Amino acid sequence: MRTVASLFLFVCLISLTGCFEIVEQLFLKTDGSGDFQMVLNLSKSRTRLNSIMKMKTINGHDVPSKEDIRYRLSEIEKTVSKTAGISNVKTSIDFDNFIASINCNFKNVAALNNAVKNIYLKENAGKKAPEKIYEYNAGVFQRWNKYSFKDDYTKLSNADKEVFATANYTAIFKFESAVSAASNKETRIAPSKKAVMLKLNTLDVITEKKSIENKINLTNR
Amino acid sequence: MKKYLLLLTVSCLAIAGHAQNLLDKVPATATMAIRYSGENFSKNIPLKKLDSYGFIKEHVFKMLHIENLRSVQNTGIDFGKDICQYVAVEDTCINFVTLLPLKNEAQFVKMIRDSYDAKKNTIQKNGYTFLPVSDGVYIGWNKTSAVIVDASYQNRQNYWTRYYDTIAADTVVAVADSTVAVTVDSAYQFTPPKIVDTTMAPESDTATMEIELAPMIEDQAKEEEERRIRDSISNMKWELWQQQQDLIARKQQEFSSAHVMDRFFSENIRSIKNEPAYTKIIDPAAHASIWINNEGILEQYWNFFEKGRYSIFGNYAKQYSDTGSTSSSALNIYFDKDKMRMETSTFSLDPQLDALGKSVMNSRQSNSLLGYVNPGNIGYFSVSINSEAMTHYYYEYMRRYLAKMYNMREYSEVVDIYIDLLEILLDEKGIADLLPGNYMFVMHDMKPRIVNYTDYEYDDEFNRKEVKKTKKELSPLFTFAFETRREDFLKKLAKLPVKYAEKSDSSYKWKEGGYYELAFKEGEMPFSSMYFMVKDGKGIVTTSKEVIDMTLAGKTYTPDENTRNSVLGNNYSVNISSKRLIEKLSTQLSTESNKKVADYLIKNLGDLKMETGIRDGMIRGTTTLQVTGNNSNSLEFLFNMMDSINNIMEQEKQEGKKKIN
Repeated sequence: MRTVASLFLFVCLISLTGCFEIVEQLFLKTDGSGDFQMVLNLSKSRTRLNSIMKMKTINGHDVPSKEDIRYRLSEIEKTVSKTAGISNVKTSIDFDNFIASINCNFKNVAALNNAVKNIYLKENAGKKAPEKIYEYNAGVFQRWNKYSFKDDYTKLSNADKEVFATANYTAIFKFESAVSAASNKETRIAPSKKAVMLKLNTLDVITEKKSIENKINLTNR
Repeated sequence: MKKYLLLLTVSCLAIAGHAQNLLDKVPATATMAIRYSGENFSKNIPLKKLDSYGFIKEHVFKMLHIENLRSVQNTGIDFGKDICQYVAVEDTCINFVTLLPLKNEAQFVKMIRDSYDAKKNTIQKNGYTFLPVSDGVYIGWNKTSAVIVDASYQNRQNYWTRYYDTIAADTVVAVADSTVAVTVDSAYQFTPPKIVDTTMAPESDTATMEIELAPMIEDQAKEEEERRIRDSISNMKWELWQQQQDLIARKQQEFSSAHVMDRFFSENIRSIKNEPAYTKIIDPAAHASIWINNEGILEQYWNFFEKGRYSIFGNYAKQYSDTGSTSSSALNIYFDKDKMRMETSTFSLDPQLDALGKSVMNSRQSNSLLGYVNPGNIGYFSVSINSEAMTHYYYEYMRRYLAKMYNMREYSEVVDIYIDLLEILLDEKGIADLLPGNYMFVMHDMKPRIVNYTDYEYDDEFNRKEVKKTKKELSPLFTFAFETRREDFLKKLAKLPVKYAEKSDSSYKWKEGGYYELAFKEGEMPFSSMYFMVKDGKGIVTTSKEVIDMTLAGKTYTPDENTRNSVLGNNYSVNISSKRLIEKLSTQLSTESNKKVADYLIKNLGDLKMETGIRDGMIRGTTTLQVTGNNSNSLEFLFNMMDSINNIMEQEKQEGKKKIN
């Protein structure tokens, strides 16, 4: 329920031709450690967000204050920091451009999975969190997606659905080793073979028309 | 919820349907009366046409759980005759009553049975059949007419008032209503359970630690158990009280509904249709009309919260039954070929209030404010009232209103003195000098403006780089202007923030020529600046620099003749160019369905216009909604519009499902 409520609030905040981008960036070293960054860019909707932030409620949902948002972000930072194998956790929020980000270093992808799991469990107490988002084993890096927003999306009004029509999801994975193959047909591989990018329309991801899952084979060069 | 939907639907469908005059059966004590003219409506939209609308079958019937009904013609209701609804307080209940003419009793009964519990038993009464369909809703009918009563009991007793009065000794919850004697069933008799001694003996006396801690744990456990028992007794008493109040309410509601029906089916009553307060402002030729006794409705509203469904306050429930001394309003609706027209009228039979009301409207909009209405505007709202008279009206209104309010009746002399004191302390002339009562709001235009935003670009190696991009956003150009005779004061007020802005990060600045600008950071507001100006007896707040320059140059816009006559000839004048407004907004839409809805409205919706002033010795207003496109009349337009939008949405839903699957 909290997930649905959060999704609704999120939708309301950027509703009416809102436009946003989610960037997921990960650099993976050969030893399995690396650094991670997640960015939410709402800059294209900043005028509307500034107006909404002046309101107390929208469509029956409370509008969080800047302090509330900062607090929630700091809580996420604390949760991630406490996860074993995660270090240098930094969060930032820019209310002029409405860009939020979280960065961290990880010892191995299992630690990163645990961090995501801990955030999920804090927000969705009592629910079963997905065990695996990333997997790295024997030169194969995999991005899994165990979340489904399809049901929540179908319950949204037409106005709310409008938000997702122009939103994007971008995943950039960089490696020390060269990439030999990627399973997701939408993946672009850099000329150096050391980076891949997957850029999709969020609506296609939510409606499961396209997937963010990917299996990337790396060579040991 | 379903009962309200049924009442609403019957009202809407009545719009489609000559008069066995059911208005004869609407009592003079009603605080609100609605009449749908069957003759006029059936000319505008035949029932067959209604049956062709998909949304009625797909949604309305489904919502009411009468999916088996495939045609509006099969409801058994005679939509060719007048249908009436009214609100009245009787037998400690507020009753919302719907009077329906029937042409086929069997079809009507089937519809009711399909909609509600088919197993419920009907009761044969004197000349009609009575069916309680749910808590508070009762239906009675004979071969020619039906009555639906939605009753709400208005004298629920507050548990806590009783609780504190009887806390010491009363353990039996029993209350009897003054009108209906409810036999309290043994199930509602309550005797609290005995508190059992729960002292726990220690299991062993050999463990020193346990022996020392045992008495404390024992006391805590006993206390906790006693607290738990006290809590459950309190909860049970509260629950039983509520059950009993529900029982009393149900009985009283049924009694009141049966009383309404007995009278309808067997008696001649004093009808509202002969009351001067009604006949003076209701047009029998209107396609639909709504009459309201303003004070009566207000009191019922209070009762509803105080003693009705919510029962939050004490023991007072006023029953309103006076139609002669208060003010009444009416709305007459006409579905003309090219426009929907709503005529409003307000007057009071009380000469003092009537005169005060008219004095408020003793004002005329000024030419200088009219000059802010630009040709081609999206909309404007002009108000011209006499502020000083308004203050006097409110003194009298508040005096009367407060004296009737909850628990204030006994203190009406105190209220009188309080209002006199207020009158002495407040300087009405001073208020009227500051704001004499002429106001103008104009939405000049909505223009696209370029705004920056941060986006990302990626090089060949997918390294992210922040880039500044631009996009177009709609920015509203509007002006709010008002007259003042205290330019000196307003100038001081406008200057005040300058000093403080210097010490903060506000960008409120005085500008050469004599105005102030409050500039916003990009993206902070949908407009870049707001301008403030006090000049020639006017206060101006605007987002349009053009308006400031025009005022500085002593120039004005030249509105067309219709606008000029409407603004200068009425106390209130509103115009919204729907087409222009939707055209501007549609540039911001991105989904196909929303674009299609916008296109439909652009083709079919005309301007919305409202004018109010003193006409024929009373406050009268006319609101018109122009209709364009391929519609036989404005009523058909309403149905066509609902159907078309429904079809667009349904189509999108189906396409969406296909996409997901």
